[in-house]
This record gives sequence, C-alpha cells and structure tokens, in this order.
Amino acid sequence: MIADVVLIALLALALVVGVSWPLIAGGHEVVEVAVDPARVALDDEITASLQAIKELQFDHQAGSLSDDDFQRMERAERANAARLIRRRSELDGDS
Amino acid sequence: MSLFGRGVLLLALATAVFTVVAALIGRAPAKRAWYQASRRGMYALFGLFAVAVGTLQVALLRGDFSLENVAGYSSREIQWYFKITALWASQAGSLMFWALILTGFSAIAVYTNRARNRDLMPIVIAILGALAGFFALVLSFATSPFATVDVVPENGSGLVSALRNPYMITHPPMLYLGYVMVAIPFAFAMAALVTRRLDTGWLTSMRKWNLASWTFLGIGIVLGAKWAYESLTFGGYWIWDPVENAALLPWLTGTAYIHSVMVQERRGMLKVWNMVLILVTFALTIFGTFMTRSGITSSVHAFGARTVGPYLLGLLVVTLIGGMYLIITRLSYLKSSHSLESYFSREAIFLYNNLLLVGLAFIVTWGTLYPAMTELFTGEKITVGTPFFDQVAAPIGIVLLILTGVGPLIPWRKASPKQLRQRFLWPTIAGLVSLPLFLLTDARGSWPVLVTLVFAVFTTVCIGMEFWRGMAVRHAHGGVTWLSALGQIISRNRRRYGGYIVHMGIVVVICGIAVSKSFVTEGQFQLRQGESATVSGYTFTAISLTRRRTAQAMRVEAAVDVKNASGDHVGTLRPAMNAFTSNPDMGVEVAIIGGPTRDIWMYMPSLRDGVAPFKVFVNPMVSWIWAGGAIFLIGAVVAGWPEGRRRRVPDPVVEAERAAA
Repeated sequence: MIADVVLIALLALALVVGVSWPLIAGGHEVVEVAVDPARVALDDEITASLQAIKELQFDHQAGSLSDDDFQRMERAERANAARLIRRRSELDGDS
Repeated sequence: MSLFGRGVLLLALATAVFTVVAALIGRAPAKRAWYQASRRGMYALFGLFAVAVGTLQVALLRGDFSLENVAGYSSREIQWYFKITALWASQAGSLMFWALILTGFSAIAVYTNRARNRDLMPIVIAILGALAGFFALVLSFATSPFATVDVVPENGSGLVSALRNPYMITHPPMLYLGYVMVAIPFAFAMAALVTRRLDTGWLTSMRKWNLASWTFLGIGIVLGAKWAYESLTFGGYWIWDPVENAALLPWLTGTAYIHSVMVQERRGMLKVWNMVLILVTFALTIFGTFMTRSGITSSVHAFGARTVGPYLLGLLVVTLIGGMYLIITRLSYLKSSHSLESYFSREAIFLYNNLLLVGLAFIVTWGTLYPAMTELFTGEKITVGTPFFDQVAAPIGIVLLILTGVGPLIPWRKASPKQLRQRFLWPTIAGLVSLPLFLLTDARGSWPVLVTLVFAVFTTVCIGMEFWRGMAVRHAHGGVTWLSALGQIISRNRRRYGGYIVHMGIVVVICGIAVSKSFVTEGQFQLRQGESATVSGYTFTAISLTRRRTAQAMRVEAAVDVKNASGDHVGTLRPAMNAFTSNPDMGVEVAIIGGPTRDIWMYMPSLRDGVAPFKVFVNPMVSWIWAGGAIFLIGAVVAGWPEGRRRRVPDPVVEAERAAA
C-alpha cells in the first residue's frame, strides 16, 4: 500500500516536471526543429503538384486522357507548380 | 496493484486535462512554451496508459485474482498468451487497451507533425487529449480495470472457449487499430475547420492514416469472419450480427472517404461531403463501441457489463453536434473549385460509389437499430434477420463491383464516346464470353450469382488492362523487360496500383461471398462408430468416437472419414467438444477440410450412449474470401508503402522556367 502511494507520488512528480518543463524553463527551451512550417507546407504542395503532372502525363500516354484535356490540365498544373516554386524561391530569398 | 493502477489512471486524467488546456493556450504564437508542454503532455499520456496496461498485464500473468478482471477472465491453467489476450476480453481491459492505442497513435501524429501544420496542431492535440481524457474518466469512474473482488478466489474463471482462439489474438487488436486510427484524421479535419485552414495540405498529411485505419478495419473484419467460421456453430462467417455490422459501418464510410478525397485532391470538389464523411466515420467508430458495450443489442460479441453506455452516447452526441456545427459554420470555406462536368467522368463514378456505400451504411444502420428502436417505442420484440440484409446488400454489391472496374478506366472531367468504346471493348467481350461458360456450371441456378461472376470477369479484365496499359507505356520507353515494367509502374505509383490490387482483392471476396451464400448445403445426422451418412455427394464415416478427461475439461471427440462421390478419400474431420472444469462454458472445436472450390465444415455438439449428432455444411468457395482478404492486405501495403529516396531527375517545370529565363 505505502509502496504504491510512494510510486504514484514519484510518477506524479516526474510527470509535472517533465510535462511542464517548457513552462518552468520560461519558454527558453531549444526549439526542437528549426524549420519554417510555411516552407514545409510549400514543399508538400510542390511535391503534390509535380506528382500530379507526372500522373497526367502517364494517364495521357496510357490513353486515359484526350489530347485536349491533357494539354489544358497539364498547362494549368504546370502554371500552379511554377507559381509554387517561385513562392518558395521568394521565401528562401527572404530568409 | 489495484491502488497503483487506479492512481496511474487518475494521473492520466489530470494530464489529459492539462494537455487540452495547454494546447488551447499554446495556439497563440507568443505562447510557444504552452504548445511544447501540450506536446509533452500527449507523450506522457501514452506513457501513463502504457504503465496502466503493463500493470494489468503483470496481474494477469501472475494470476493476481484479487482483481475482478483477472479473476473473471484468466485462470491458472490457460496458456500464457491467452493470459495476455485476456486484457481485451473484459470491457474495462479492452477500453484501457483502446486508450493505449489512441494515445500511442496520438503521440506518433504529434511527433511526425512537429515541423508541420503548426496552425492545426494545438487543436489536434486538444481534441486527441480530450479523447484520451474521456477514456481516463470512464476507466476511473465507470468501469475500472483495477476493481477488486470482496473474496479472493483460489483460481479464476478463465476465458470462455470462443475467446481461446488464435483469431482472438489478432482480430480485436486489428479492429481497435482501425477504429482508433480514425481519430487522427478526424482530429485534423476538425482542426482544419476550427482554424479555417481548409487547403489540401492537411489532407496530404492524413493520406497514410486514412489508408492504415481503413486497412486495419478491413483486415479486422475478415479475421472476425474467420473466427466466427472456425469457432461458432452456425457454419458460416457472417450473420449481420449487430456488432459485426458496427465494425462494417465505419469501413463502408471509410471506403467512400478514401475515394472521394481523391476527387478533392484532384479536382477541388466534394469538400463538404468529405468533411461529413470523416465526421460520420469517426462517429460510427464510437457508435460501434456503444453498440458493443451498452446492452442495446444482443450479440455473441457484446460485453456483459453495461456501465459505459451513457458515457459513449454522450461522446457520440457531442461529436456529431460539434462536428456538424463546425461544418455548417465553415460552409463558405468549403466551396468546390470545379463542378461536375459529365456523368461519365471518374469523379462522377466516385460520387456514385460514395452514394452506394453511404446508402448501404445507412440501411445497415437502420436494420441494426430497428429492433432496439421498436422495443423502445412499442415494447414489441422483433428481429431483422440475415435475409433482409442479404437482399439489400446483394444488388448494391453488384453495382459496386461494376463501378470498381469502370472507375479507373474513365478519365477525369469527362469521357468521349470514342474513349468509352476503346476502354470497355475487351472487358465487355470478356464478360459476354464468360456468360455461357458460367451457364455450364451450377451458377445457372442463381441469377444474382451469375450476374456477379460475369461482372467479376468484366472488372478483372478492366483492372488487368490498367496494368497492361501502364506496362506498355513503361516498356515503350525501352530498356526494360515486361516484368521490370510491371515492377516499375507499381513502385513509381504505389497508391494507384496498390489501389488496383485492393480492388482485385475485393472482387475475389465478392465472388466468394456470392457463391458461398447461394450454394451452401447443410446436413444433420447421427452416427455410431463405423456408421456412415451422405451429404451433397460426400460420405461421412465415423472412425472413432471417444470421451476422455484432460487437465482442463471433459473432452469428447470424433474422427470422421470423408470420401467424395467417386470414393476418393478427401480427408479426416476431427470435431470435438470440451466441458471445462473452471467454468460452465462448453468449448466447441469445429472441424474443417478446406479447399479452393469448397469447404467441408463439421460440428459435433455431444456424445451420448455411443451416438454422436453431427452438423455438416458443404460451403463452396469460402476460401476465396480469405484469399481476397490477403490480396486486399497486399494491395493496401503496396499503396501505403513509404516512398523511397529517388535519384533526382530533371524537373519539367524547373527546366521550363530555366529555359524561359
């Protein structure tokens, strides 16, 4: 019984210190990952856009898209990818 | 041990409350320390539930019968691995296991998004922390896994025989993994609604979670069917039991979501529909848990204790009202980028598929709840039986089977008549050619089976042609064999080709279900040693009928020789029945001779005065269901396999930009 209570008390103490350490340290804890989330999101969007272009090309070659549809959709996706890449370059230039 | 376990659960409750508060404060950019504390809270919650589960596991393995959950679900005699699985045999134990998985996945989601979705993560953590807190609350005050007994028994009751089965080691955890994983995409969806960050970024982050939860649910359902087939005495694998239905429902809406989210990613459509689907899928996981634990339905799968029903109902109501409020108030952010241009486009096919899946889910929900509702309002006890569900599910299943083949062959946006002719010529010819061949078989006796098999051929050729076209494109580039081309198209577009493999698995499962449901033969007879009986052309001869006492039970068993109509020996069936000494339960061991075309299933309920009654089923093509499940799993693994690091290739857009510059 006493051993159980002591164990719980120790666990609670470790928990309080461990979980609230960023508050105890006054918010000066080292930032774990110094990556700009906006930049990461942009990378994801660029990857998705490039993947979409590849899929469009594949679908067209496999006969799943007509020439007209392919040209229009690919043009739109390329423009989107170029816009995203330009935005990333601007972001990198800013930083 | 009881005090320690209860203390850990109370600490988990306090930590969950702190995590939610810290996450909400941490939303402000200036309060980064609070956000970091909330993330640590999420990790701590996982640790605390791991300690709590570990404590109960130690009690189960050591046989600490002072705990209700050990005395009621374990005993000295049962094997050590069944002592471990006894964790999810009890209501409280299974809820604690559920909480462990939830907090484990939550911790993984928090860790993998440490550098992503900063706007969403505080709300995600708050929602997941609140869910963990809900379980800590229920486990602390409604049904404690560490409750003690007044008088400590010498030995426990042990597990009921239906749970002493290898499939019970894997089936419940698979279902729990599937159920619980849905919470992650749900939390992200709700966070996207709260923060109004409704771009496709969070959808991309959730792809793997969606696929994994759907896969685990699917495999859990197949394993549950296999468990029922091998452990219960009705000779089948699915009887539309309320708890079976409860597992199927989120899988149906999850299947709809996996398809409709592709429409959103590709065409910017169905944004509201997708939000509703993810909300409904998560709500159905809670509904399934409620069905199993509230006592509103009777089922072989249900838990005896009914103390947590009101809590789960409360969670369900809060989830639905809160989710619908967020969707309605964010409608202006969920406008489609495009509209449906043709009823013959891939997005239209996905929409039809969604309507059918959700329609089926609605009918199954209605059929499942109708008896309970009728009893509640009129006091009359009625049942909605298997024929109702079969009659509804069969036509919907056939149309879904057709869409499974048609969908991938129709292009996005719209299809021209010429494209449709080119794409569907060979599948249609294959289907038509197969019709007279099937008419030569027993399938001619059932038109639904005939239609199913013809469209299964159609869909298989559709899927095969998609592989063929992809290989042809890759092969045309030169330098690769056809086999390498196959490997390359799969490895370069795992999501697409993994999906096709999953479709193939579904086709195989549907064929197995259609044939096994329609052409089952049942026979019942009594035999003395040396006597024979015939069912469906098979002759069953009792070689031996014995009764003996084992360490755990009084056991009766039979050895029955089986010969086919030609007199060839097919195998020996060994059904048995155990009357356990530790509990009043009767342990059934059905015997099965399996095969690709049919299973011979046998059950022996007793042995009296040298006479044994037998129940025999000759079930055609049941093994196709298990094989289809395996193909489904392979496809899902292919689709979800992480993309490896690839050699950097010139980017067409970058190259174009460079050229322009």
